[in-house]
Amino acid sequence: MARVLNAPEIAILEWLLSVDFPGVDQPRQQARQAAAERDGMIINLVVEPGAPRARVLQRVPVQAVVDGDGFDGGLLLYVDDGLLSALEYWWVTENPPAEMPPLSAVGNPIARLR
Amino acid sequence: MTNRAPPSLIESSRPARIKSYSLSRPNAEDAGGFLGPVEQRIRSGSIIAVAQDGYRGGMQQWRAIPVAIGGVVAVGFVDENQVIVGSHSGVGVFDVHTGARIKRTHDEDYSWYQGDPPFIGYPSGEGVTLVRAAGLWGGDLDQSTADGWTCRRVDGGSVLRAEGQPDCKIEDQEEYRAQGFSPGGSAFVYATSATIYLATH
Repeated sequence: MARVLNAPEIAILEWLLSVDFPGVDQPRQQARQAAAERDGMIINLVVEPGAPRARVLQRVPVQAVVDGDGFDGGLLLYVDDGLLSALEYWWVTENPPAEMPPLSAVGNPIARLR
Repeated sequence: MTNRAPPSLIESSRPARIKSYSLSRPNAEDAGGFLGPVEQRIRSGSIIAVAQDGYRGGMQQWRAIPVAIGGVVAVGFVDENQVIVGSHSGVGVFDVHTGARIKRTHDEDYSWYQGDPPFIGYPSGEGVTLVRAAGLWGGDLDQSTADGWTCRRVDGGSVLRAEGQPDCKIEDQEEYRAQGFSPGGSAFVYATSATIYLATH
Protein backbone atom coordinates (compact mmCIF):
# COMPACT_ATOMS: atom_id res chain seq x y z
CA MET A 1 0.00 0.00 0.00
CA ALA A 2 1.55 3.25 -1.11
CA ARG A 3 1.61 6.14 1.34
CA VAL A 4 2.53 9.77 1.24
CA LEU A 5 6.15 10.53 1.96
CA ASN A 6 6.60 12.06 5.39
CA ALA A 7 8.39 15.35 5.97
CA PRO A 8 11.84 13.94 6.77
CA GLU A 9 11.70 11.68 3.73
CA ILE A 10 10.70 14.57 1.47
CA ALA A 11 13.46 16.73 2.89
CA ILE A 12 16.06 14.05 2.33
CA LEU A 13 14.88 13.36 -1.18
CA GLU A 14 14.99 17.02 -2.11
CA TRP A 15 18.40 17.41 -0.53
CA LEU A 16 19.90 14.46 -2.36
CA LEU A 17 18.46 15.67 -5.65
CA SER A 18 19.69 19.21 -5.12
CA VAL A 19 23.06 18.26 -6.52
CA ASP A 20 23.61 17.91 -10.24
CA PHE A 21 24.48 14.58 -11.81
CA PRO A 22 23.83 13.08 -15.24
CA GLY A 23 20.15 12.32 -15.61
CA VAL A 24 19.06 14.26 -12.53
CA ASP A 25 16.22 16.17 -14.21
CA GLN A 26 13.87 13.22 -14.44
CA PRO A 27 14.30 12.07 -10.81
CA ARG A 28 13.64 15.64 -9.72
CA GLN A 29 10.38 15.58 -11.63
CA GLN A 30 9.51 12.11 -10.35
CA ALA A 31 10.17 13.14 -6.75
CA ARG A 32 7.42 15.74 -6.84
CA GLN A 33 4.78 13.05 -7.06
CA ALA A 34 6.59 10.12 -5.49
CA ALA A 35 4.88 7.96 -2.90
CA ALA A 36 6.37 5.42 -0.52
CA GLU A 37 5.85 1.80 0.29
CA ARG A 38 6.97 0.35 3.60
CA ASP A 39 8.44 2.07 6.61
CA GLY A 40 11.81 1.61 8.17
CA MET A 41 15.30 2.44 7.09
CA ILE A 42 14.72 1.53 3.49
CA ILE A 43 11.59 2.59 1.71
CA ASN A 44 10.34 1.85 -1.75
CA LEU A 45 9.75 4.94 -3.83
CA VAL A 46 6.75 4.65 -6.09
CA VAL A 47 6.48 6.90 -9.11
CA GLU A 48 4.19 6.93 -12.09
CA PRO A 49 5.44 4.18 -14.42
CA GLY A 50 4.90 6.42 -17.40
CA ALA A 51 7.06 9.19 -16.01
CA PRO A 52 10.04 10.26 -18.11
CA ARG A 53 12.91 7.94 -17.36
CA ALA A 54 16.34 9.03 -16.30
CA ARG A 55 19.59 7.81 -17.76
CA VAL A 56 21.80 7.76 -14.69
CA LEU A 57 25.30 6.38 -14.64
CA GLN A 58 24.91 4.22 -11.57
CA ARG A 59 22.06 2.53 -9.78
CA VAL A 60 22.88 4.72 -6.78
CA PRO A 61 23.60 8.04 -8.49
CA VAL A 62 23.78 10.07 -5.30
CA GLN A 63 24.44 9.46 -1.62
CA ALA A 64 25.31 11.37 1.53
CA VAL A 65 27.10 10.84 4.80
CA VAL A 66 25.01 10.99 7.96
CA ASP A 67 26.75 12.04 11.15
CA GLY A 68 25.25 14.02 14.00
CA ASP A 69 22.25 14.37 16.30
CA GLY A 70 22.70 10.74 17.31
CA PHE A 71 22.65 9.50 13.74
CA ASP A 72 25.60 7.82 12.07
CA GLY A 73 25.70 6.20 8.65
CA GLY A 74 24.71 7.18 5.16
CA LEU A 75 21.89 7.75 2.73
CA LEU A 76 21.59 6.05 -0.65
CA LEU A 77 19.12 6.92 -3.38
CA TYR A 78 18.29 4.18 -5.86
CA VAL A 79 17.19 4.59 -9.46
CA ASP A 80 16.07 1.48 -11.33
CA ASP A 81 15.03 1.44 -14.95
CA GLY A 82 15.17 5.21 -14.94
CA LEU A 83 12.73 5.63 -12.07
CA LEU A 84 13.30 6.49 -8.44
CA SER A 85 13.03 3.17 -6.63
CA ALA A 86 14.27 3.44 -3.06
CA LEU A 87 15.77 5.52 -0.30
CA GLU A 88 18.04 3.77 2.17
CA TYR A 89 19.53 4.92 5.46
CA TRP A 90 22.34 2.59 6.47
CA TRP A 91 23.40 3.08 10.05
CA VAL A 92 26.10 2.03 12.46
CA THR A 93 24.81 3.31 15.76
CA GLU A 94 24.56 0.98 18.72
CA ASN A 95 20.78 0.89 18.55
CA PRO A 96 18.59 0.84 15.47
CA PRO A 97 17.24 4.27 14.55
CA ALA A 98 13.53 4.87 14.83
CA GLU A 99 13.33 7.29 11.96
CA MET A 100 15.19 8.73 9.04
CA PRO A 101 17.86 11.26 10.03
CA PRO A 102 17.12 14.97 10.09
CA LEU A 103 18.78 17.15 7.49
CA SER A 104 20.93 18.65 10.21
CA ALA A 105 22.77 15.33 10.37
CA VAL A 106 23.09 14.85 6.63
CA GLY A 107 26.20 15.91 4.77
CA ASN A 108 26.40 17.30 1.28
CA PRO A 109 25.12 15.00 -1.44
CA ILE A 110 27.85 13.06 -3.23
CA ALA A 111 26.90 12.45 -6.84
CA ARG A 112 28.25 9.90 -9.25
CA LEU A 113 29.62 11.86 -12.15
CA ARG A 114 31.17 8.99 -14.08
CA MET B 1 28.15 19.92 7.30
CA THR B 2 30.47 20.38 4.38
CA ASN B 3 33.28 18.71 2.56
CA ARG B 4 33.02 15.37 4.20
CA ALA B 5 34.92 12.35 3.01
CA PRO B 6 32.94 9.83 0.97
CA PRO B 7 31.08 7.29 3.11
CA SER B 8 33.35 4.46 2.14
CA LEU B 9 36.33 6.22 3.65
CA ILE B 10 34.53 6.97 6.85
CA GLU B 11 33.16 3.49 7.10
CA SER B 12 36.58 1.95 6.85
CA SER B 13 37.73 3.83 9.93
CA ARG B 14 34.84 2.77 12.12
CA PRO B 15 35.03 -0.04 14.61
CA ALA B 16 32.48 -2.74 14.14
CA ARG B 17 29.31 -2.17 16.11
CA ILE B 18 27.88 -5.33 17.55
CA LYS B 19 24.36 -5.82 18.77
CA SER B 20 22.66 -8.76 20.37
CA TYR B 21 19.09 -9.86 19.96
CA SER B 22 16.97 -12.65 21.30
CA LEU B 23 16.95 -15.90 19.40
CA SER B 24 13.24 -16.33 19.79
CA ARG B 25 11.20 -14.77 17.07
CA PRO B 26 8.18 -15.74 15.05
CA ASN B 27 8.43 -17.38 11.71
CA ALA B 28 8.16 -14.36 9.55
CA GLU B 29 8.14 -16.12 6.22
CA ASP B 30 5.50 -14.14 4.45
CA ALA B 31 4.66 -12.56 1.21
CA GLY B 32 5.73 -9.11 2.23
CA GLY B 33 8.29 -7.16 0.37
CA PHE B 34 11.77 -8.44 0.80
CA LEU B 35 15.09 -6.71 0.98
CA GLY B 36 13.49 -3.38 0.63
CA PRO B 37 13.18 -1.28 -2.32
CA VAL B 38 13.89 -3.00 -5.42
CA GLU B 39 12.59 -6.03 -7.15
CA GLN B 40 15.29 -8.61 -6.82
CA ARG B 41 16.54 -9.33 -10.27
CA ILE B 42 19.33 -10.97 -12.06
CA ARG B 43 21.05 -8.86 -14.61
CA SER B 44 21.66 -11.29 -17.39
CA GLY B 45 24.63 -10.78 -19.59
CA SER B 46 26.66 -9.09 -16.90
CA ILE B 47 29.21 -11.77 -16.20
CA ILE B 48 32.12 -10.03 -14.62
CA ALA B 49 34.62 -12.83 -14.24
CA VAL B 50 37.64 -11.78 -16.20
CA ALA B 51 40.34 -14.13 -17.34
CA GLN B 52 43.22 -11.73 -17.42
CA ASP B 53 45.85 -14.28 -18.26
CA GLY B 54 43.96 -16.08 -20.96
CA TYR B 55 42.29 -19.45 -20.75
CA ARG B 56 44.23 -22.66 -20.71
CA GLY B 57 43.28 -26.26 -20.14
CA GLY B 58 42.80 -27.10 -16.48
CA MET B 59 42.03 -23.53 -15.53
CA GLN B 60 39.36 -22.97 -12.96
CA GLN B 61 37.19 -20.22 -14.31
CA TRP B 62 34.92 -18.47 -11.86
CA ARG B 63 31.46 -17.73 -13.07
CA ALA B 64 29.99 -14.69 -11.37
CA ILE B 65 26.54 -13.18 -11.49
CA PRO B 66 25.33 -9.92 -9.97
CA VAL B 67 22.01 -9.91 -8.16
CA ALA B 68 20.52 -6.47 -7.60
CA ILE B 69 18.92 -6.25 -4.19
CA GLY B 70 19.24 -3.02 -2.22
CA GLY B 71 19.67 -2.41 1.47
CA VAL B 72 22.20 -5.17 2.03
CA VAL B 73 23.57 -5.21 5.57
CA ALA B 74 25.31 -8.58 5.95
CA VAL B 75 25.89 -11.81 4.05
CA GLY B 76 26.88 -15.39 4.85
CA PHE B 77 26.82 -18.90 3.45
CA VAL B 78 24.21 -21.42 4.51
CA ASP B 79 26.23 -24.05 2.62
CA GLU B 80 28.07 -24.38 -0.69
CA ASN B 81 24.89 -23.74 -2.64
CA GLN B 82 23.08 -21.04 -0.72
CA VAL B 83 24.00 -17.55 0.39
CA ILE B 84 22.01 -15.69 3.00
CA VAL B 85 21.53 -11.93 2.93
CA GLY B 86 20.39 -9.75 5.81
CA SER B 87 18.99 -6.37 4.85
CA HIS B 88 17.22 -3.41 6.35
CA SER B 89 13.94 -5.14 5.62
CA GLY B 90 14.53 -8.83 6.13
CA VAL B 91 16.48 -11.92 5.26
CA GLY B 92 16.74 -13.81 2.01
CA VAL B 93 18.42 -16.99 0.90
CA PHE B 94 19.71 -17.20 -2.67
CA ASP B 95 21.01 -19.96 -4.90
CA VAL B 96 24.67 -19.16 -5.48
CA HIS B 97 24.63 -20.73 -8.93
CA THR B 98 21.61 -18.95 -10.37
CA GLY B 99 20.95 -16.02 -8.06
CA ALA B 100 17.38 -17.20 -7.63
CA ARG B 101 15.78 -16.34 -4.33
CA ILE B 102 14.92 -19.46 -2.37
CA LYS B 103 13.51 -18.07 0.87
CA ARG B 104 12.66 -14.77 2.38
CA THR B 105 11.55 -13.37 5.70
CA HIS B 106 10.27 -9.93 6.37
CA ASP B 107 11.88 -8.21 9.35
CA GLU B 108 12.37 -4.49 9.79
CA ASP B 109 13.61 -4.60 13.37
CA TYR B 110 16.87 -6.39 12.58
CA SER B 111 16.08 -9.31 14.87
CA TRP B 112 17.79 -11.52 12.31
CA TYR B 113 21.12 -10.01 13.41
CA GLN B 114 22.59 -12.12 16.18
CA GLY B 115 25.52 -11.84 18.52
CA ASP B 116 29.21 -11.28 18.41
CA PRO B 117 30.72 -12.36 16.06
CA PRO B 118 27.64 -11.76 13.99
CA PHE B 119 25.32 -14.40 12.66
CA ILE B 120 22.24 -14.16 10.53
CA GLY B 121 19.32 -16.00 12.08
CA TYR B 122 16.46 -17.28 10.01
CA PRO B 123 13.58 -19.65 10.63
CA SER B 124 14.05 -23.23 9.51
CA GLY B 125 12.55 -26.60 10.23
CA GLU B 126 14.83 -26.97 13.25
CA GLY B 127 13.96 -23.58 14.73
CA VAL B 128 16.19 -20.60 14.13
CA THR B 129 19.28 -21.41 12.13
CA LEU B 130 22.32 -19.20 12.68
CA VAL B 131 24.70 -18.54 9.83
CA ARG B 132 28.10 -16.91 10.21
CA ALA B 133 27.98 -13.50 8.59
CA ALA B 134 29.91 -10.36 7.76
CA GLY B 135 28.85 -6.92 6.77
CA LEU B 136 28.14 -3.40 7.87
CA TRP B 137 28.43 -4.17 11.58
CA GLY B 138 31.46 -6.45 11.54
CA GLY B 139 32.18 -10.14 11.21
CA ASP B 140 34.18 -11.96 8.61
CA LEU B 141 33.98 -14.71 6.06
CA ASP B 142 36.77 -16.95 4.79
CA GLN B 143 39.25 -14.95 2.75
CA SER B 144 40.98 -17.93 1.19
CA THR B 145 40.22 -21.47 0.11
CA ALA B 146 41.97 -24.78 0.64
CA ASP B 147 42.80 -24.96 -3.08
CA GLY B 148 44.70 -21.68 -3.05
CA TRP B 149 42.25 -18.96 -3.96
CA THR B 150 42.37 -15.67 -2.13
CA CYS B 151 40.23 -12.57 -2.38
CA ARG B 152 41.52 -9.05 -2.13
CA ARG B 153 39.64 -5.81 -2.10
CA VAL B 154 40.81 -3.34 -4.69
CA ASP B 155 39.65 0.11 -5.59
CA GLY B 156 36.09 -0.37 -6.74
CA GLY B 157 35.76 -4.09 -6.31
CA SER B 158 37.56 -7.31 -5.62
CA VAL B 159 39.98 -9.72 -7.25
CA LEU B 160 40.05 -13.48 -6.79
CA ARG B 161 43.48 -14.87 -7.38
CA ALA B 162 45.28 -18.20 -7.29
CA GLU B 163 48.69 -19.16 -8.50
CA GLY B 164 48.64 -20.21 -12.13
CA GLN B 165 44.99 -19.32 -12.54
CA PRO B 166 43.32 -16.44 -14.33
CA ASP B 167 42.13 -13.67 -12.06
CA CYS B 168 38.49 -13.04 -11.50
CA LYS B 169 37.72 -9.37 -11.06
CA ILE B 170 34.49 -7.99 -9.68
CA GLU B 171 33.91 -4.33 -10.29
CA ASP B 172 31.42 -2.30 -8.29
CA GLN B 173 31.80 1.20 -6.93
CA GLU B 174 28.92 1.04 -4.47
CA GLU B 175 29.09 0.93 -0.70
CA TYR B 176 31.08 -2.14 0.31
CA ARG B 177 29.55 -4.54 2.78
CA ALA B 178 31.49 -7.81 2.81
CA GLN B 179 33.25 -10.45 0.79
CA GLY B 180 34.36 -14.01 1.35
CA PHE B 181 34.35 -17.63 0.31
CA SER B 182 31.98 -20.38 1.32
CA PRO B 183 33.37 -22.82 3.90
CA GLY B 184 34.17 -25.38 1.21
CA GLY B 185 35.68 -22.79 -1.11
CA SER B 186 33.47 -23.47 -4.10
CA ALA B 187 31.55 -20.19 -3.90
CA PHE B 188 32.33 -16.56 -3.26
CA VAL B 189 30.21 -13.55 -2.44
CA TYR B 190 31.01 -9.87 -2.84
CA ALA B 191 28.37 -7.61 -1.37
CA THR B 192 27.69 -3.92 -1.69
CA SER B 193 24.66 -2.16 -0.32
CA ALA B 194 22.93 -2.45 -3.67
CA THR B 195 24.15 -5.72 -5.14
CA ILE B 196 25.51 -9.13 -4.26
CA TYR B 197 27.86 -10.88 -6.66
CA LEU B 198 27.75 -14.64 -6.51
CA ALA B 199 30.71 -16.49 -7.96
CA THR B 200 31.18 -20.22 -8.29
CA HIS B 201 33.72 -22.51 -9.88
